[in-house]
Amino acid sequence: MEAVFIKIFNMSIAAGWLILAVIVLRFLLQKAPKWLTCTLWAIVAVRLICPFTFESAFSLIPSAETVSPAVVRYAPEPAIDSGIPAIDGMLNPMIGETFAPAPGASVNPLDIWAFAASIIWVIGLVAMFEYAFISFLRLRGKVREAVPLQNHAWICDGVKSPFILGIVKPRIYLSSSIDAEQTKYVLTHERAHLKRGDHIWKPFSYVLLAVYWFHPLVWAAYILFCRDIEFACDERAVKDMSFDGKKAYCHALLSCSMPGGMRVSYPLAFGEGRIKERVKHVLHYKRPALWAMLAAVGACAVVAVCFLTDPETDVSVETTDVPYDDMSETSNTPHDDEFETSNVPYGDEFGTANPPHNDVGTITFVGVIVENTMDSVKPLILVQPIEAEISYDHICFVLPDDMADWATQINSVVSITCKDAFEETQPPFGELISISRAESSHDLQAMFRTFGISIQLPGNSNWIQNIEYRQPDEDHLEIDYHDAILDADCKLLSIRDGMPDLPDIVYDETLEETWQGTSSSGQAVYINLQRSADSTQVLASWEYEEYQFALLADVPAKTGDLGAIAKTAITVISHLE
Amino acid sequence: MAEIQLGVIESRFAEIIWEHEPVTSSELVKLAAEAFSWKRTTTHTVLKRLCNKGLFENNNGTVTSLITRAQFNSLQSRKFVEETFDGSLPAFIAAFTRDNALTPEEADKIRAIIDRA
Repeated sequence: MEAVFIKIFNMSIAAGWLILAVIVLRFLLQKAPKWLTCTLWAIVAVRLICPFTFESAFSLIPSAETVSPAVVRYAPEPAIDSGIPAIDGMLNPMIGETFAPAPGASVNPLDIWAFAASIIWVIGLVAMFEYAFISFLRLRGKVREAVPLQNHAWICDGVKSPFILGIVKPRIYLSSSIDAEQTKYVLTHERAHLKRGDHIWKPFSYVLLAVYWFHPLVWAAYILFCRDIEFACDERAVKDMSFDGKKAYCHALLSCSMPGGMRVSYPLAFGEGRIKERVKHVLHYKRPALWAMLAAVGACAVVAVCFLTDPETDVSVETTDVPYDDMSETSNTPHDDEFETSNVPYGDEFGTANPPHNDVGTITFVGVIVENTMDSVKPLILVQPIEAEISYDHICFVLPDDMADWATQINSVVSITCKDAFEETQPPFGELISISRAESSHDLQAMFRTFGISIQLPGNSNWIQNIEYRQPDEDHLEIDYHDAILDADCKLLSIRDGMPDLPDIVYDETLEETWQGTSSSGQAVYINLQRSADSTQVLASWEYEEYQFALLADVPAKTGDLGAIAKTAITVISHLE
Repeated sequence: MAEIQLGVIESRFAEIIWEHEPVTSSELVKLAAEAFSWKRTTTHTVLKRLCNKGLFENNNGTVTSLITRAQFNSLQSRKFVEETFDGSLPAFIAAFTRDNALTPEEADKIRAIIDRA
């Protein structure tokens, strides 16, 4: 629930900027028809309802996530990101100090506060709904004694100002002492409300108000929206009236606004009574010129794009080695230019691609759990990566509640897939995607020790997936994996002092290629890349010292560029000592 | 006797009783349903209210009047109560207007604006 409140809070901050923009635009568009202004409010409603939106470069929203749930929970130095440096600079030192957790504390103070705030929010929400419900029941009781007048119009004692009740089957209720002249105009107005659907929009916007009751700008939006509805309705009602008709309409408006014989004080709810303004609007309103209308619509569209979309979030690319870096510097093979044309999935390896959405690359590595804290709100583990292309010595992860015990045991070896971006805290925090038991480091280490060398595939889990190691005997090592870029199942065979047992496949000699990789000791290693005539069977083979390697791939479709195979080989070679 | 204030619809209901009295409550329910589309419970509620105000009495299901129509009319100030509405309309209801606190001066000013246009 706390997460819901934080999300709502962030959404309200973003919407607040939109509301400010709409208020300004509404002021500038005073001469425009009010239905346009109502459309602007509809945009505000969309912003308040949709948890997700597009990101665009045109967004004027400073920050889509002012309060990050992760920060609230775990950050040793809580801070907000409002997107405005001035505000951040002012508030964050205070927040950091006030809400800094005591060392050794299992829960962040900010977390407790967030929880308390969410409780208060729910209480307010319930209160708003209760008020609405009780008022509605009261009205319903009153109109039980109503008598039908015509169509959907009824008259009732004890009703001063005509209103509409009901969403599915709306009914217009008029005062029983209304005179015939007024009836005509009042019904026109109320029918205009019905035609515009206001009997639905008003309660609907009240629901939004109930959810966002804590935000003063949302109240302002609601009040202004209610006013604009009345103006728009007046416009619609008097659309086809003669000028005299409009005057009579205003008189009716006036009479219905005046207290009768017994003066009862009515609290002025939300200032809708702005009779003078409404009268003036009805009498003086004229449809603006076409160009003005177009300009106004254009301005609304601009507001929508600028404030309905979220700011683009930067893709943070860290740590991963670019396996091709070595090659592009040292190789002089005929395939040099191929390295430049990278596909997007390699993007995070190059650090140049900027995916349109908040999509950081992921990385899979094997690590051993060196520490855990079970008494914090969520279990935390401290993982030491082994055999991984990560520059950190230790990384901290939060485990979901339902994690199995083995996942938290110290010395347990795990295969972790996480986002390729780490929070620069002490220790660094990572965002866990999945965790599974791994070949015990001892097993893997043992395997490599027996075999004599260690074999390392590229760590990008968008590329190399489902890795399985097998050691039939101490001179053989087999690794099965899936190459997601080629959508190919691959097998890497390594043999010491021997030749790999290769399947009987006929390779097309004219399609043979040679690639070059460099070992970590600087030795050049040449890779022979063979493929069958239809390019579905690929074999990359090379030798290093007393080892023979054969990488077999079963590629589904006829892909021209089998660079991924060569690049995998090059990565393996780059880790050979 | 003190002034008894009735709303427009209440008066119409009272008329029905005067016209048909003595009338059984079930017959009255039927008449009210015809004239007003009222539910049984509604008719009973209003009847009870009028009885409490001293106009009618309900003896074992038969409704009779305590004062005649003529007597009642002579007691009235001829002004129907327009507002027994004890509270403002809730904000989420679409209405004609909510402003009921206009002073006579403000009203005159607005009337002038309309007439001048």
